Amino acid sequence: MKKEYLIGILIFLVLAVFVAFQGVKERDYFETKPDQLFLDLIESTRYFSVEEVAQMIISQDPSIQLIDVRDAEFYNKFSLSGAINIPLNELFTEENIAYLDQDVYKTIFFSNGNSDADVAWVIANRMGYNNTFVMLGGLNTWVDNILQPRDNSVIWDKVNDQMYQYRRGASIYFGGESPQVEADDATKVKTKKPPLKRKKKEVEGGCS
Amino acid sequence: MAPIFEFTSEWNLLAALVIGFAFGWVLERAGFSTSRKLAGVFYGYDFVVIKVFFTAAITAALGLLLLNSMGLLYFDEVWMPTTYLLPTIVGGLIMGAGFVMGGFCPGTSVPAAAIGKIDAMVFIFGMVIGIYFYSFTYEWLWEDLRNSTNLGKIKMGEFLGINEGLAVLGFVIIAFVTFWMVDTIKKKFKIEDVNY
Repeated sequence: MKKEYLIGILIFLVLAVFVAFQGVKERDYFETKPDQLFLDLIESTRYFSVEEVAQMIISQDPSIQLIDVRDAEFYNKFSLSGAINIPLNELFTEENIAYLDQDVYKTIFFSNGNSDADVAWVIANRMGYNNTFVMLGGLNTWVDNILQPRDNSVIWDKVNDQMYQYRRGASIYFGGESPQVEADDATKVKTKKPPLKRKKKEVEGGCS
Repeated sequence: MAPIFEFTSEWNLLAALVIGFAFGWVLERAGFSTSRKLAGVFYGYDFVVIKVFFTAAITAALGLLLLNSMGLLYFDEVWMPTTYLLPTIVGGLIMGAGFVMGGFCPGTSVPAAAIGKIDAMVFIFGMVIGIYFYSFTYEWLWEDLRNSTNLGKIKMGEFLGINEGLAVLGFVIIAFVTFWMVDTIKKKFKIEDVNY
């Protein structure tokens, strides 16, 4: 018998003996299937607008928990009232998983924009925690729409006007537009630096 | 990790196309587009078919179990055909008869026709007639037989009442014993290798 045959037979037999003692493994963790995750991902119902979140906070909705996934440093500067701070990289640790592993509260993630909250949402959903949502636009939109609402409505535009009136009301509730909040929140207006006047350099090299 | 696509995904068709091309190419390169080589297994002058198909089966079985033991593949997510025992035996006999007469199995006839073998084209024509015959007479002749002796999605280990890995080990040993047997038969009857 050729040497190659013997080596092949030996490899097969060794592997077969190995699997004979292993047995069949069953999946011991849950994972949402990629197709389902994708379908959920493009579903707009996974978002709450900032107005909806504001409404829930004002009406002290007992069925929600707000999770600020930014770092503690940002959380301490400004966050939503009643929000819990669990930075993204600590969200899925053993002591924090209980916040997600429950059916009582709707969990709403938010960050400055959408990205970090979306990451939290995707990981949570992949792990099977479906009762999770994202505050659309994050705190940036919160500041724009709730704390400093602008009147975009034109005279015949009832919908936008009502929205503006609502935002004005919410703004007063959350203390927007007061100098105190503006200084505190994440929207620190950048102080404009006077433009540097560049000295014109003397021409160097070239054909001069 | 696996399966990469769900059963219902459209990507399955594309994957099937790519795998089909690769399969056909390998069959052709391995000499399986020759009906004399394929029929040789029945007449006892060429046993390559047994070796190739047995090797493919044990490679796949071992591969699946190794991936499973590494946690990369779980059997609840892999599609498995339902076993109907009696119809499988009857269908196997009919296919075997066609294999002896035509010198091709359905898979090998396609690459053989692709390289221009006329017997393979005739074989495919016959196969298509067979498919139509089965479809049109399904309700009269085949339906009861086809749905009888349903064993469900059963694996070899479950069927024998032993651990799956042990069943695969047994299968590997049977394969090697068969290889040894056909080689011995070839030596004993001094069967020469045929060049096609």
